[in-house]
Amino acid sequence: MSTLDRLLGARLPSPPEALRRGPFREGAFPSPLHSERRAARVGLWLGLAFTVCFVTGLISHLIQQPPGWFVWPASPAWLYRVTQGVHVATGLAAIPLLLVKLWTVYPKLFEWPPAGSVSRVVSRLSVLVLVGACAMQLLTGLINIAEWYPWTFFFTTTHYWTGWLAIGAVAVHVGAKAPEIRRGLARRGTSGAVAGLTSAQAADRAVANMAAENQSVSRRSFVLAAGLGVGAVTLTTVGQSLSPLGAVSVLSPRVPGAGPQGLPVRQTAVHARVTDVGADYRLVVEGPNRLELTLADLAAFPQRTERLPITCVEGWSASATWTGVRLGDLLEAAGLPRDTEVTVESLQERGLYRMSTVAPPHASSPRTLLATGLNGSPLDPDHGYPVRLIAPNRPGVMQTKWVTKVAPA
Amino acid sequence: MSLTTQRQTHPSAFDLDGPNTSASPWWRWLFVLPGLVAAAYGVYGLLTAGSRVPLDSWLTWFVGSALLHDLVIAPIWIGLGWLAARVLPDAARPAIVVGAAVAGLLALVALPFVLGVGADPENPSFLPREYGRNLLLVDAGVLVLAAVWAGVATVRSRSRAVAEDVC
Repeated sequence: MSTLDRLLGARLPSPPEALRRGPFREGAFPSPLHSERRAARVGLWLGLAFTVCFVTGLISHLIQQPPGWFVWPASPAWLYRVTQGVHVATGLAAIPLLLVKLWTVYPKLFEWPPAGSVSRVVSRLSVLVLVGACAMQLLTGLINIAEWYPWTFFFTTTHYWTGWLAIGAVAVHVGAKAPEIRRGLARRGTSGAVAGLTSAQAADRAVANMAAENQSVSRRSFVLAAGLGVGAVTLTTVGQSLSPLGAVSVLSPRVPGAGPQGLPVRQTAVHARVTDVGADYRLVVEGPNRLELTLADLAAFPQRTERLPITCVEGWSASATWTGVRLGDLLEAAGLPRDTEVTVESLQERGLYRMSTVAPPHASSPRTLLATGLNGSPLDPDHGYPVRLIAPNRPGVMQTKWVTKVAPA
Repeated sequence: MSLTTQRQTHPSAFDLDGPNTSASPWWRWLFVLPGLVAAAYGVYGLLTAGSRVPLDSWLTWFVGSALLHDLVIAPIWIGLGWLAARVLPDAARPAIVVGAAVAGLLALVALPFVLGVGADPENPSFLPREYGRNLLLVDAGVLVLAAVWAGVATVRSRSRAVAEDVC
Protein backbone atom coordinates (compact mmCIF):
# COMPACT_ATOMS: atom_id res chain seq x y z
CA MET A 1 0.00 0.00 0.00
CA SER A 2 1.42 3.35 -0.97
CA THR A 3 1.63 6.26 1.43
CA LEU A 4 -1.11 8.01 -0.54
CA ASP A 5 -3.46 5.04 -0.24
CA ARG A 6 -2.75 4.83 3.47
CA LEU A 7 -3.42 8.54 3.89
CA LEU A 8 -6.63 8.49 1.86
CA GLY A 9 -7.91 5.35 3.55
CA ALA A 10 -7.10 6.58 7.05
CA ARG A 11 -10.18 6.25 9.22
CA LEU A 12 -11.39 9.38 10.88
CA PRO A 13 -13.12 9.26 14.27
CA SER A 14 -16.88 8.83 13.97
CA PRO A 15 -19.27 11.03 15.91
CA PRO A 16 -21.16 9.23 18.70
CA GLU A 17 -23.94 6.97 17.41
CA ALA A 18 -26.42 8.89 19.61
CA LEU A 19 -26.14 11.80 17.16
CA ARG A 20 -27.37 9.64 14.29
CA ARG A 21 -30.86 11.07 14.15
CA GLY A 22 -33.36 12.44 11.64
CA PRO A 23 -32.08 12.20 8.06
CA PHE A 24 -28.92 10.44 9.27
CA ARG A 25 -30.88 7.37 10.39
CA GLU A 26 -30.55 4.18 8.39
CA GLY A 27 -33.47 4.04 5.95
CA ALA A 28 -34.47 7.68 6.48
CA PHE A 29 -35.11 7.97 2.72
CA PRO A 30 -37.14 4.88 1.87
CA SER A 31 -37.93 5.55 -1.82
CA PRO A 32 -36.10 3.12 -4.13
CA LEU A 33 -36.01 5.95 -6.67
CA HIS A 34 -33.03 7.37 -4.76
CA SER A 35 -30.92 5.05 -6.88
CA GLU A 36 -27.84 4.77 -9.02
CA ARG A 37 -30.00 4.09 -12.09
CA ARG A 38 -32.16 7.20 -11.67
CA ALA A 39 -29.11 9.35 -10.87
CA ALA A 40 -27.26 8.09 -13.96
CA ARG A 41 -30.22 8.58 -16.28
CA VAL A 42 -31.20 12.06 -15.12
CA GLY A 43 -27.49 12.83 -14.99
CA LEU A 44 -27.14 11.99 -18.66
CA TRP A 45 -29.74 14.63 -19.59
CA LEU A 46 -28.28 17.14 -17.17
CA GLY A 47 -24.78 16.52 -18.53
CA LEU A 48 -26.04 17.10 -22.07
CA ALA A 49 -27.74 20.31 -20.95
CA PHE A 50 -24.56 21.61 -19.32
CA THR A 51 -22.55 20.73 -22.41
CA VAL A 52 -24.96 22.64 -24.66
CA CYS A 53 -24.90 25.61 -22.27
CA PHE A 54 -21.11 25.56 -22.12
CA VAL A 55 -20.61 25.41 -25.89
CA THR A 56 -23.21 28.08 -26.70
CA GLY A 57 -21.90 30.24 -23.85
CA LEU A 58 -18.36 29.88 -25.15
CA ILE A 59 -19.52 30.93 -28.63
CA SER A 60 -21.12 34.06 -27.20
CA HIS A 61 -17.97 34.84 -25.22
CA LEU A 62 -15.71 34.38 -28.27
CA ILE A 63 -17.91 36.65 -30.40
CA GLN A 64 -17.70 39.42 -27.81
CA GLN A 65 -14.01 39.01 -26.94
CA PRO A 66 -12.56 37.40 -30.04
CA PRO A 67 -9.03 36.01 -29.89
CA GLY A 68 -6.98 36.37 -33.07
CA TRP A 69 -7.86 32.94 -34.47
CA PHE A 70 -11.60 33.36 -34.07
CA VAL A 71 -13.78 34.48 -36.98
CA TRP A 72 -17.55 34.79 -36.60
CA PRO A 73 -19.45 35.03 -39.89
CA ALA A 74 -22.11 37.61 -40.78
CA SER A 75 -24.28 34.94 -42.33
CA PRO A 76 -26.61 33.22 -41.59
CA ALA A 77 -28.19 36.22 -39.86
CA TRP A 78 -30.17 34.00 -37.45
CA LEU A 79 -27.26 31.90 -36.15
CA TYR A 80 -26.50 33.84 -32.96
CA ARG A 81 -30.20 34.13 -32.32
CA VAL A 82 -30.33 30.34 -32.24
CA THR A 83 -27.17 29.73 -30.21
CA GLN A 84 -28.01 32.29 -27.52
CA GLY A 85 -31.71 31.37 -27.44
CA VAL A 86 -30.63 27.74 -26.96
CA HIS A 87 -28.13 28.80 -24.26
CA VAL A 88 -30.77 30.44 -22.09
CA ALA A 89 -33.57 27.95 -22.85
CA THR A 90 -31.27 25.02 -22.04
CA GLY A 91 -30.10 26.71 -18.84
CA LEU A 92 -33.72 27.16 -17.75
CA ALA A 93 -34.53 23.56 -18.65
CA ALA A 94 -31.50 22.45 -16.62
CA ILE A 95 -33.04 23.88 -13.43
CA PRO A 96 -35.67 21.10 -13.18
CA LEU A 97 -33.07 18.54 -14.26
CA LEU A 98 -30.60 19.64 -11.58
CA LEU A 99 -33.27 19.56 -8.87
CA VAL A 100 -34.41 16.09 -9.92
CA LYS A 101 -30.81 14.87 -10.08
CA LEU A 102 -30.03 16.23 -6.64
CA TRP A 103 -33.18 14.59 -5.29
CA THR A 104 -32.00 11.18 -6.47
CA VAL A 105 -28.72 11.51 -4.54
CA TYR A 106 -29.98 13.61 -1.62
CA PRO A 107 -29.67 10.74 0.94
CA LYS A 108 -25.91 10.71 0.30
CA LEU A 109 -25.71 14.12 1.94
CA PHE A 110 -26.54 12.35 5.22
CA GLU A 111 -24.23 9.34 4.94
CA TRP A 112 -22.98 7.97 8.25
CA PRO A 113 -20.34 8.52 9.44
CA PRO A 114 -20.29 11.97 7.82
CA ALA A 115 -16.54 11.75 7.20
CA GLY A 116 -15.43 8.13 7.50
CA SER A 117 -12.01 8.53 5.94
CA VAL A 118 -9.73 11.11 4.38
CA SER A 119 -10.80 9.93 0.94
CA ARG A 120 -14.46 10.49 1.85
CA VAL A 121 -13.67 14.05 2.94
CA VAL A 122 -11.89 14.71 -0.36
CA SER A 123 -14.74 13.13 -2.28
CA ARG A 124 -17.44 15.08 -0.47
CA LEU A 125 -15.58 18.36 -0.97
CA SER A 126 -15.31 17.60 -4.69
CA VAL A 127 -19.08 17.04 -4.77
CA LEU A 128 -19.56 20.40 -3.05
CA VAL A 129 -17.53 22.04 -5.83
CA LEU A 130 -19.65 20.25 -8.44
CA VAL A 131 -22.99 21.14 -6.86
CA GLY A 132 -21.89 24.67 -5.96
CA ALA A 133 -20.68 25.46 -9.47
CA CYS A 134 -23.69 23.94 -11.23
CA ALA A 135 -26.29 25.42 -8.88
CA MET A 136 -24.60 28.83 -8.94
CA GLN A 137 -24.51 28.92 -12.76
CA LEU A 138 -28.22 28.18 -13.05
CA LEU A 139 -29.36 30.37 -10.14
CA THR A 140 -27.29 33.45 -11.02
CA GLY A 141 -28.12 32.93 -14.71
CA LEU A 142 -31.84 32.99 -13.92
CA ILE A 143 -31.53 36.04 -11.66
CA ASN A 144 -29.42 37.79 -14.29
CA ILE A 145 -32.10 37.44 -16.98
CA ALA A 146 -34.45 39.02 -14.42
CA GLU A 147 -31.98 41.97 -14.53
CA TRP A 148 -31.57 41.74 -10.78
CA TYR A 149 -28.00 41.95 -9.51
CA PRO A 150 -27.87 41.05 -5.79
CA TRP A 151 -24.09 40.48 -5.90
CA THR A 152 -20.95 42.56 -6.21
CA PHE A 153 -19.24 40.52 -8.95
CA PHE A 154 -19.48 41.40 -12.63
CA PHE A 155 -21.91 38.80 -13.94
CA THR A 156 -20.50 37.95 -17.37
CA THR A 157 -16.91 37.50 -16.16
CA THR A 158 -18.09 35.38 -13.24
CA HIS A 159 -20.49 33.33 -15.38
CA TYR A 160 -17.70 32.66 -17.89
CA TRP A 161 -15.06 31.47 -15.43
CA THR A 162 -17.51 29.60 -13.22
CA GLY A 163 -18.71 27.95 -16.43
CA TRP A 164 -15.24 26.46 -16.95
CA LEU A 165 -15.24 25.28 -13.35
CA ALA A 166 -18.72 23.78 -13.72
CA ILE A 167 -18.08 21.94 -16.98
CA GLY A 168 -14.76 20.69 -15.59
CA ALA A 169 -16.40 19.47 -12.39
CA VAL A 170 -19.12 17.74 -14.42
CA ALA A 171 -16.51 15.98 -16.57
CA VAL A 172 -14.47 14.87 -13.53
CA HIS A 173 -17.68 13.62 -11.92
CA VAL A 174 -18.59 11.61 -15.03
CA GLY A 175 -15.12 10.04 -15.04
CA ALA A 176 -15.14 9.39 -11.31
CA LYS A 177 -18.59 7.82 -11.48
CA ALA A 178 -17.86 5.87 -14.68
CA PRO A 179 -18.64 2.41 -13.22
CA GLU A 180 -21.92 3.60 -11.71
CA ILE A 181 -22.88 5.43 -14.90
CA ARG A 182 -22.14 2.39 -17.03
CA ARG A 183 -24.30 0.23 -14.77
CA GLY A 184 -27.03 2.86 -14.48
CA LEU A 185 -27.34 3.33 -18.24
CA ALA A 186 -27.22 -0.40 -19.06
CA ARG A 187 -30.51 -2.13 -19.74
CA ARG A 188 -32.00 -3.77 -16.68
CA GLY A 189 -31.30 -7.48 -16.45
CA THR A 190 -28.15 -7.35 -18.58
CA SER A 191 -24.70 -8.14 -17.24
CA GLY A 192 -23.71 -4.50 -17.73
CA ALA A 193 -26.32 -3.41 -15.18
CA VAL A 194 -24.56 -5.39 -12.43
CA ALA A 195 -20.93 -5.02 -13.59
CA GLY A 196 -18.60 -4.86 -10.61
CA LEU A 197 -21.32 -5.76 -8.09
CA THR A 198 -21.19 -8.75 -5.75
CA SER A 199 -24.07 -11.16 -6.21
CA ALA A 200 -25.58 -10.00 -2.92
CA GLN A 201 -25.43 -6.36 -4.04
CA ALA A 202 -26.93 -7.31 -7.41
CA ALA A 203 -29.80 -9.11 -5.67
CA ASP A 204 -30.45 -6.03 -3.49
CA ARG A 205 -30.55 -3.83 -6.57
CA ALA A 206 -32.98 -6.17 -8.32
CA VAL A 207 -35.37 -5.94 -5.35
CA ALA A 208 -35.08 -2.14 -5.27
CA ASN A 209 -35.65 -1.89 -9.04
CA MET A 210 -38.75 -4.06 -8.77
CA ALA A 211 -40.04 -1.88 -5.93
CA ALA A 212 -39.38 1.24 -8.01
CA GLU A 213 -41.58 -0.17 -10.77
CA ASN A 214 -44.45 -1.25 -8.55
CA GLN A 215 -44.71 1.28 -5.74
CA SER A 216 -47.39 3.96 -5.77
CA VAL A 217 -45.10 6.78 -6.95
CA SER A 218 -43.29 4.59 -9.47
CA ARG A 219 -40.41 5.08 -11.84
CA ARG A 220 -42.96 6.12 -14.47
CA SER A 221 -44.32 8.89 -12.21
CA PHE A 222 -40.74 10.03 -11.56
CA VAL A 223 -39.93 10.22 -15.28
CA LEU A 224 -43.25 11.93 -15.98
CA ALA A 225 -42.63 14.57 -13.28
CA ALA A 226 -39.14 15.29 -14.62
CA GLY A 227 -40.28 15.41 -18.24
CA LEU A 228 -43.34 17.56 -17.61
CA GLY A 229 -41.29 19.84 -15.33
CA VAL A 230 -38.76 20.48 -18.09
CA GLY A 231 -41.54 20.83 -20.67
CA ALA A 232 -43.56 23.27 -18.56
CA VAL A 233 -40.58 25.51 -17.79
CA THR A 234 -39.56 25.53 -21.46
CA LEU A 235 -43.05 26.14 -22.83
CA THR A 236 -43.75 29.05 -20.46
CA THR A 237 -40.48 30.87 -21.23
CA VAL A 238 -39.13 29.92 -24.68
CA GLY A 239 -41.52 32.27 -26.52
CA GLN A 240 -39.14 35.15 -25.75
CA SER A 241 -36.84 33.80 -28.46
CA LEU A 242 -39.16 31.45 -30.38
CA SER A 243 -41.69 34.08 -31.40
CA PRO A 244 -44.50 31.73 -32.56
CA LEU A 245 -44.78 30.65 -28.91
CA GLY A 246 -44.76 34.27 -27.68
CA ALA A 247 -48.40 34.13 -26.59
CA VAL A 248 -48.02 30.73 -24.91
CA SER A 249 -44.98 31.67 -22.83
CA VAL A 250 -46.89 33.52 -20.13
CA LEU A 251 -43.89 33.59 -17.75
CA SER A 252 -41.21 34.82 -20.20
CA PRO A 253 -39.47 38.05 -19.13
CA ARG A 254 -39.72 39.37 -22.68
CA VAL A 255 -42.39 39.32 -25.37
CA PRO A 256 -41.13 39.64 -28.98
CA GLY A 257 -43.66 42.33 -30.01
CA ALA A 258 -43.68 44.31 -26.75
CA GLY A 259 -41.77 47.59 -26.73
CA PRO A 260 -41.52 50.91 -28.52
CA GLN A 261 -42.12 50.36 -32.26
CA GLY A 262 -42.99 46.73 -31.50
CA LEU A 263 -39.48 45.75 -30.40
CA PRO A 264 -38.12 45.09 -26.87
CA VAL A 265 -35.42 47.35 -25.40
CA ARG A 266 -32.49 46.40 -23.17
CA GLN A 267 -30.96 49.77 -22.34
CA THR A 268 -33.14 52.88 -22.39
CA ALA A 269 -32.07 56.32 -23.59
CA VAL A 270 -32.71 57.70 -20.11
CA HIS A 271 -30.44 55.12 -18.54
CA ALA A 272 -27.72 55.81 -21.11
CA ARG A 273 -28.26 59.58 -20.64
CA VAL A 274 -28.72 60.21 -24.36
CA THR A 275 -32.00 62.10 -24.38
CA ASP A 276 -30.99 65.51 -25.74
CA VAL A 277 -29.88 64.79 -29.31
CA GLY A 278 -30.31 68.08 -31.17
CA ALA A 279 -29.66 69.66 -34.55
CA ASP A 280 -25.95 69.80 -33.77
CA TYR A 281 -25.76 66.00 -34.09
CA ARG A 282 -23.07 64.75 -36.47
CA LEU A 283 -22.01 61.29 -37.53
CA VAL A 284 -18.24 61.26 -37.98
CA VAL A 285 -16.61 58.64 -40.18
CA GLU A 286 -12.82 58.71 -39.83
CA GLY A 287 -10.75 57.84 -42.88
CA PRO A 288 -8.58 59.33 -45.63
CA ASN A 289 -11.68 61.34 -46.59
CA ARG A 290 -13.14 62.17 -43.18
CA LEU A 291 -16.94 62.58 -43.18
CA GLU A 292 -18.96 64.70 -40.81
CA LEU A 293 -22.59 64.04 -41.63
CA THR A 294 -25.87 65.59 -40.52
CA LEU A 295 -29.03 63.48 -40.58
CA ALA A 296 -29.91 65.17 -43.88
CA ASP A 297 -26.52 64.16 -45.31
CA LEU A 298 -27.17 60.57 -44.21
CA ALA A 299 -30.59 60.61 -45.86
CA ALA A 300 -28.90 61.56 -49.15
CA PHE A 301 -27.03 58.22 -49.21
CA PRO A 302 -28.82 55.25 -50.85
CA GLN A 303 -31.35 53.95 -48.30
CA ARG A 304 -31.56 50.20 -47.71
CA THR A 305 -34.08 48.14 -45.84
CA GLU A 306 -33.19 44.88 -44.10
CA ARG A 307 -35.16 42.49 -41.93
CA LEU A 308 -32.77 41.51 -39.12
CA PRO A 309 -33.15 40.16 -35.59
CA ILE A 310 -31.99 41.80 -32.39
CA THR A 311 -30.68 39.11 -30.04
CA CYS A 312 -29.95 39.92 -26.41
CA VAL A 313 -27.33 37.96 -24.49
CA GLU A 314 -30.16 37.43 -22.01
CA GLY A 315 -31.71 35.07 -24.55
CA TRP A 316 -34.64 36.97 -26.03
CA SER A 317 -34.69 37.96 -29.67
CA ALA A 318 -37.03 39.61 -32.13
CA SER A 319 -36.96 40.43 -35.83
CA ALA A 320 -37.50 43.95 -37.10
CA THR A 321 -37.36 45.90 -40.34
CA TRP A 322 -34.50 48.39 -40.35
CA THR A 323 -33.88 51.26 -42.77
CA GLY A 324 -30.66 53.18 -43.16
CA VAL A 325 -27.32 53.46 -44.90
CA ARG A 326 -25.01 50.54 -45.57
CA LEU A 327 -21.94 50.71 -43.38
CA GLY A 328 -19.88 49.69 -46.43
CA ASP A 329 -21.21 52.66 -48.44
CA LEU A 330 -20.08 55.06 -45.70
CA LEU A 331 -16.65 53.42 -45.42
CA GLU A 332 -16.20 53.70 -49.17
CA ALA A 333 -17.23 57.36 -49.10
CA ALA A 334 -14.63 57.94 -46.37
CA GLY A 335 -11.98 56.38 -48.59
CA LEU A 336 -11.76 53.06 -46.70
CA PRO A 337 -12.06 49.54 -48.08
CA ARG A 338 -15.48 47.99 -47.36
CA ASP A 339 -13.99 45.25 -45.23
CA THR A 340 -12.12 47.59 -42.87
CA GLU A 341 -12.38 46.55 -39.24
CA VAL A 342 -13.97 49.55 -37.51
CA THR A 343 -15.08 50.66 -34.09
CA VAL A 344 -18.48 52.22 -33.61
CA GLU A 345 -18.89 54.73 -30.78
CA SER A 346 -22.00 55.89 -29.02
CA LEU A 347 -23.07 59.29 -27.70
CA GLN A 348 -23.41 57.44 -24.42
CA GLU A 349 -20.52 58.65 -22.30
CA ARG A 350 -20.19 55.79 -19.85
CA GLY A 351 -20.84 52.10 -19.81
CA LEU A 352 -19.13 48.93 -20.99
CA TYR A 353 -21.12 48.76 -24.18
CA ARG A 354 -20.76 52.34 -25.47
CA MET A 355 -18.43 51.08 -28.20
CA SER A 356 -18.19 47.97 -30.33
CA THR A 357 -15.86 46.54 -32.91
CA VAL A 358 -17.18 45.53 -36.31
CA ALA A 359 -15.02 42.75 -37.74
CA PRO A 360 -14.44 42.48 -41.52
CA PRO A 361 -17.22 39.90 -42.20
CA HIS A 362 -19.79 42.25 -40.69
CA ALA A 363 -18.26 45.52 -41.96
CA SER A 364 -18.38 44.23 -45.53
CA SER A 365 -21.80 42.56 -45.25
CA PRO A 366 -24.34 44.34 -47.48
CA ARG A 367 -26.88 43.77 -44.69
CA THR A 368 -24.98 45.81 -42.08
CA LEU A 369 -26.67 49.19 -41.70
CA LEU A 370 -26.32 52.38 -39.77
CA ALA A 371 -30.06 52.49 -39.28
CA THR A 372 -32.18 55.60 -38.85
CA GLY A 373 -35.57 53.92 -39.18
CA LEU A 374 -37.30 50.94 -37.59
CA ASN A 375 -40.54 49.26 -38.69
CA GLY A 376 -41.41 52.22 -40.91
CA SER A 377 -40.75 55.19 -38.62
CA PRO A 378 -37.67 57.04 -37.28
CA LEU A 379 -35.86 55.23 -34.46
CA ASP A 380 -37.35 55.65 -31.00
CA PRO A 381 -34.81 57.14 -28.55
CA ASP A 382 -34.74 53.77 -26.76
CA HIS A 383 -33.78 52.05 -30.01
CA GLY A 384 -30.87 54.43 -30.59
CA TYR A 385 -32.16 57.66 -32.18
CA PRO A 386 -30.71 59.16 -34.30
CA VAL A 387 -28.50 56.34 -35.64
CA ARG A 388 -27.78 52.79 -34.54
CA LEU A 389 -25.71 49.93 -35.86
CA ILE A 390 -27.59 46.83 -36.95
CA ALA A 391 -25.60 43.94 -38.34
CA PRO A 392 -26.58 40.34 -39.03
CA ASN A 393 -25.62 37.57 -36.59
CA ARG A 394 -24.31 39.63 -33.66
CA PRO A 395 -25.22 39.96 -29.97
CA GLY A 396 -27.39 42.96 -29.09
CA VAL A 397 -24.69 44.47 -26.87
CA MET A 398 -22.60 44.89 -30.03
CA GLN A 399 -25.43 46.58 -31.98
CA THR A 400 -24.32 49.98 -30.71
CA LYS A 401 -27.05 52.60 -30.25
CA TRP A 402 -26.86 56.42 -30.50
CA VAL A 403 -23.88 56.10 -32.87
CA THR A 404 -21.80 59.23 -33.38
CA LYS A 405 -18.47 57.97 -34.67
CA VAL A 406 -17.10 55.24 -36.92
CA ALA A 407 -13.32 54.82 -37.06
CA PRO A 408 -10.84 52.21 -38.34
CA ALA A 409 -9.98 49.89 -35.41
CA MET B 1 -19.28 -1.17 12.26
CA SER B 2 -16.19 -3.26 11.66
CA LEU B 3 -13.23 -2.03 9.69
CA THR B 4 -13.93 -4.43 6.81
CA THR B 5 -17.51 -3.32 6.26
CA GLN B 6 -16.28 0.24 6.50
CA ARG B 7 -13.85 -0.45 3.67
CA GLN B 8 -16.50 -2.13 1.62
CA THR B 9 -18.76 0.85 2.03
CA HIS B 10 -16.13 3.35 1.05
CA PRO B 11 -13.62 1.75 -1.28
CA SER B 12 -12.58 4.78 -3.30
CA ALA B 13 -12.54 8.53 -3.23
CA PHE B 14 -15.47 9.02 -5.56
CA ASP B 15 -17.51 5.91 -5.10
CA LEU B 16 -20.39 6.45 -2.76
CA ASP B 17 -22.16 3.15 -3.26
CA GLY B 18 -19.48 0.70 -2.45
CA PRO B 19 -19.17 -1.88 -5.21
CA ASN B 20 -15.62 -2.65 -6.24
CA THR B 21 -14.29 -0.35 -8.93
CA SER B 22 -11.90 -2.78 -10.57
CA ALA B 23 -14.33 -2.83 -13.50
CA SER B 24 -13.65 0.82 -14.20
CA PRO B 25 -14.36 1.71 -17.84
CA TRP B 26 -11.35 2.82 -19.90
CA TRP B 27 -13.11 6.01 -20.99
CA ARG B 28 -13.16 7.49 -17.50
CA TRP B 29 -9.83 9.23 -18.06
CA LEU B 30 -11.19 10.95 -21.17
CA PHE B 31 -13.45 12.83 -18.74
CA VAL B 32 -11.28 13.12 -15.63
CA LEU B 33 -8.15 14.65 -17.18
CA PRO B 34 -9.75 17.30 -19.45
CA GLY B 35 -12.20 17.97 -16.60
CA LEU B 36 -9.41 18.72 -14.17
CA VAL B 37 -7.76 21.02 -16.72
CA ALA B 38 -11.03 22.91 -17.39
CA ALA B 39 -11.81 23.27 -13.68
CA ALA B 40 -8.28 24.48 -12.95
CA TYR B 41 -8.58 27.00 -15.80
CA GLY B 42 -11.85 28.26 -14.31
CA VAL B 43 -10.31 28.64 -10.85
CA TYR B 44 -7.31 30.43 -12.36
CA GLY B 45 -9.66 32.80 -14.19
CA LEU B 46 -11.70 33.53 -11.08
CA LEU B 47 -8.59 34.16 -8.99
CA THR B 48 -7.03 36.50 -11.56
CA ALA B 49 -10.19 38.44 -12.45
CA GLY B 50 -9.39 41.00 -9.76
CA SER B 51 -12.08 43.53 -8.93
CA ARG B 52 -14.47 42.05 -11.49
CA VAL B 53 -14.94 38.97 -9.33
CA PRO B 54 -14.69 39.81 -5.60
CA LEU B 55 -14.09 36.39 -4.09
CA ASP B 56 -16.28 36.93 -1.02
CA SER B 57 -19.31 37.64 -3.19
CA TRP B 58 -18.45 34.73 -5.49
CA LEU B 59 -18.00 32.34 -2.58
CA THR B 60 -21.28 33.44 -1.01
CA TRP B 61 -23.18 32.55 -4.18
CA PHE B 62 -21.16 29.40 -4.81
CA VAL B 63 -21.80 27.89 -1.38
CA GLY B 64 -25.15 29.65 -0.96
CA SER B 65 -26.60 28.15 -4.15
CA ALA B 66 -25.74 24.63 -2.95
CA LEU B 67 -27.10 25.34 0.53
CA LEU B 68 -30.29 26.85 -0.91
CA HIS B 69 -30.98 23.44 -2.39
CA ASP B 70 -29.71 21.30 0.47
CA LEU B 71 -31.26 23.24 3.35
CA VAL B 72 -34.36 24.85 1.81
CA ILE B 73 -35.66 23.40 -1.44
CA ALA B 74 -34.94 19.71 -0.81
CA PRO B 75 -36.27 19.61 2.80
CA ILE B 76 -39.49 21.34 1.73
CA TRP B 77 -40.01 18.85 -1.10
CA ILE B 78 -39.12 15.83 1.05
CA GLY B 79 -41.43 17.13 3.79
CA LEU B 80 -44.28 17.47 1.30
CA GLY B 81 -43.61 13.93 0.07
CA TRP B 82 -43.70 12.65 3.64
CA LEU B 83 -47.02 14.43 4.15
CA ALA B 84 -48.45 13.08 0.88
CA ALA B 85 -47.54 9.53 1.91
CA ARG B 86 -49.52 9.93 5.13
CA VAL B 87 -52.52 11.90 3.91
CA LEU B 88 -53.22 10.68 0.38
CA PRO B 89 -54.53 7.31 -0.77
CA ASP B 90 -51.86 5.37 -2.68
CA ALA B 91 -53.69 5.67 -5.99
CA ALA B 92 -53.83 9.48 -5.75
CA ARG B 93 -50.17 10.03 -4.95
CA PRO B 94 -48.58 9.81 -8.42
CA ALA B 95 -50.89 12.49 -9.84
CA ILE B 96 -50.40 14.83 -6.89
CA VAL B 97 -46.61 14.36 -6.84
CA VAL B 98 -46.34 15.05 -10.59
CA GLY B 99 -48.67 18.06 -10.36
CA ALA B 100 -46.88 19.51 -7.34
CA ALA B 101 -43.48 19.01 -9.02
CA VAL B 102 -44.57 20.86 -12.17
CA ALA B 103 -46.30 23.66 -10.22
CA GLY B 104 -43.34 24.03 -7.84
CA LEU B 105 -40.76 24.12 -10.66
CA LEU B 106 -42.74 26.80 -12.50
CA ALA B 107 -42.96 28.85 -9.30
CA LEU B 108 -39.21 28.58 -8.67
CA VAL B 109 -38.25 29.61 -12.20
CA ALA B 110 -40.82 32.43 -12.36
CA LEU B 111 -40.05 33.78 -8.88
CA PRO B 112 -37.45 36.39 -9.98
CA PHE B 113 -39.95 37.72 -12.56
CA VAL B 114 -42.80 37.72 -10.04
CA LEU B 115 -40.68 39.63 -7.53
CA GLY B 116 -39.69 42.00 -10.35
CA VAL B 117 -36.79 43.54 -8.43
CA GLY B 118 -35.05 44.37 -11.71
CA ALA B 119 -38.12 46.04 -13.23
CA ASP B 120 -37.53 49.52 -14.64
CA PRO B 121 -40.42 51.98 -15.00
CA GLU B 122 -38.51 53.59 -17.89
CA ASN B 123 -38.56 50.29 -19.78
CA PRO B 124 -42.04 48.77 -20.11
CA SER B 125 -40.70 46.20 -22.62
CA PHE B 126 -38.96 44.36 -19.76
CA LEU B 127 -41.27 42.19 -17.63
CA PRO B 128 -44.32 43.31 -19.66
CA ARG B 129 -46.65 40.67 -18.21
CA GLU B 130 -48.45 40.22 -14.91
CA TYR B 131 -46.23 37.43 -13.67
CA GLY B 132 -47.86 36.89 -10.27
CA ARG B 133 -51.31 36.48 -11.81
CA ASN B 134 -50.02 34.29 -14.67
CA LEU B 135 -48.13 32.02 -12.30
CA LEU B 136 -51.19 31.64 -10.07
CA LEU B 137 -53.40 30.78 -13.05
CA VAL B 138 -50.96 28.28 -14.58
CA ASP B 139 -50.21 26.60 -11.26
CA ALA B 140 -53.91 26.47 -10.37
CA GLY B 141 -54.58 24.84 -13.74
CA VAL B 142 -51.81 22.29 -13.22
CA LEU B 143 -53.01 21.43 -9.70
CA VAL B 144 -56.66 21.14 -10.78
CA LEU B 145 -55.65 18.73 -13.55
CA ALA B 146 -53.57 16.75 -11.06
CA ALA B 147 -56.49 16.64 -8.60
CA VAL B 148 -58.85 15.38 -11.31
CA TRP B 149 -56.35 12.72 -12.33
CA ALA B 150 -55.87 11.75 -8.67
CA GLY B 151 -59.64 11.53 -8.13
CA VAL B 152 -60.17 9.36 -11.20
CA ALA B 153 -57.27 7.10 -10.21
CA THR B 154 -58.63 6.72 -6.67
CA VAL B 155 -62.16 5.88 -7.83
CA ARG B 156 -60.82 3.40 -10.36
CA SER B 157 -58.60 1.65 -7.85
CA ARG B 158 -61.53 1.39 -5.38
CA SER B 159 -63.90 -0.06 -7.96
CA ARG B 160 -61.15 -2.47 -9.01
CA ALA B 161 -60.73 -3.51 -5.37
CA VAL B 162 -64.51 -4.00 -5.08
CA ALA B 163 -64.58 -6.03 -8.30
CA GLU B 164 -61.79 -8.23 -7.00
CA ASP B 165 -63.74 -8.74 -3.78
CA VAL B 166 -66.85 -9.77 -5.73
CA CYS B 167 -64.92 -12.25 -7.81
